[in-house]
Amino acid sequence: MNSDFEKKLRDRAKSIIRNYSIASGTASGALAIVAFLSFDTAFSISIVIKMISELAQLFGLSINDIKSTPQFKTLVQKFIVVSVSKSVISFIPVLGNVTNGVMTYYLIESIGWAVYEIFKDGRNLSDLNEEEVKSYLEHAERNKAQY
Amino acid sequence: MLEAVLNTEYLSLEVEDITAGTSQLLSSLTILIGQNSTPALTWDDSIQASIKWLFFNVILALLPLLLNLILVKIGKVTTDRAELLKDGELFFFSTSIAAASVGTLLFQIPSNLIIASVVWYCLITIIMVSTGLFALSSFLKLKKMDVIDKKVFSDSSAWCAIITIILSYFAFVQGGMK
Repeated sequence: MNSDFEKKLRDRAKSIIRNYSIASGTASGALAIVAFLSFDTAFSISIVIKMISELAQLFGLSINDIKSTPQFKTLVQKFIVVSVSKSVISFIPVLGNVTNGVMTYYLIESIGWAVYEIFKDGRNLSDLNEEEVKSYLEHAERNKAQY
Repeated sequence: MLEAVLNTEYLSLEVEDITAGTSQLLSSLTILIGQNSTPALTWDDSIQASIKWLFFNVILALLPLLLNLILVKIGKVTTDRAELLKDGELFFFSTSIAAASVGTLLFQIPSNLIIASVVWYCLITIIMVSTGLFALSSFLKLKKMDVIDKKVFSDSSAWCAIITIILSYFAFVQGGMK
């Protein structure tokens, strides 16, 4: 893969990840006060599925039944852990909305870059075990500023 | 002698001024209290006030959507509710009606402080939810992203509007139906 092509691919992925992170962050910010009912998680999960599908298309892969894979469940688990911590503050109008929105934005961004790295390494979500998904997520969280 | 008369007149004027000022202050206070208290309305007055509120705050505010619905029916464009409400217009309506009701609760002395506080908190929640979801809908439309199911979105906006109307009516009642 030459560097010019890789740069174009990364720029396109950056645009996809940013758009879906904004969409998810806005949904979570809006639904912050009802976050304890996991409404925001339900909205964000549909956004994550769409983001993964678009990233897969970018790499010429097809993703079928992402929801049922254990790897996807690992990503969702990460989401739920953060959701619990968000719920504490989300009852406060304005402050809770902003906090919920910002935290979700960064979380979806990390998930997006982790999935990008997985596809860039020529792997598929279904090929990985839970530990590998977690290590990709940690790597993305550490390095997302460099993308 | 003249000095004594002048002093007496001065004093009497002063007393008159104080009396006039006090009565003015009392009448102002009476008006103020009268404005903020919730006078017992008769059944007919309550019905009349409720109809007025419903017409000016809900029906007139929904006119653009109602006209759109009429045009769609006449032109036989679509019969799908989700298609009609997918842009989140009802979120916009909910925000405006909820904002007006929050103002009513803030600047009127409510008849029941606990109920008014709960309604106020729920209305603030509605404002946050509907503002955010309307912004999300606009963003998705501009970016041509088809992420959220149209039916989920339109149903959420319809429920949001219904809940807002009910809460706003509570706020209107708590504010003394003014």
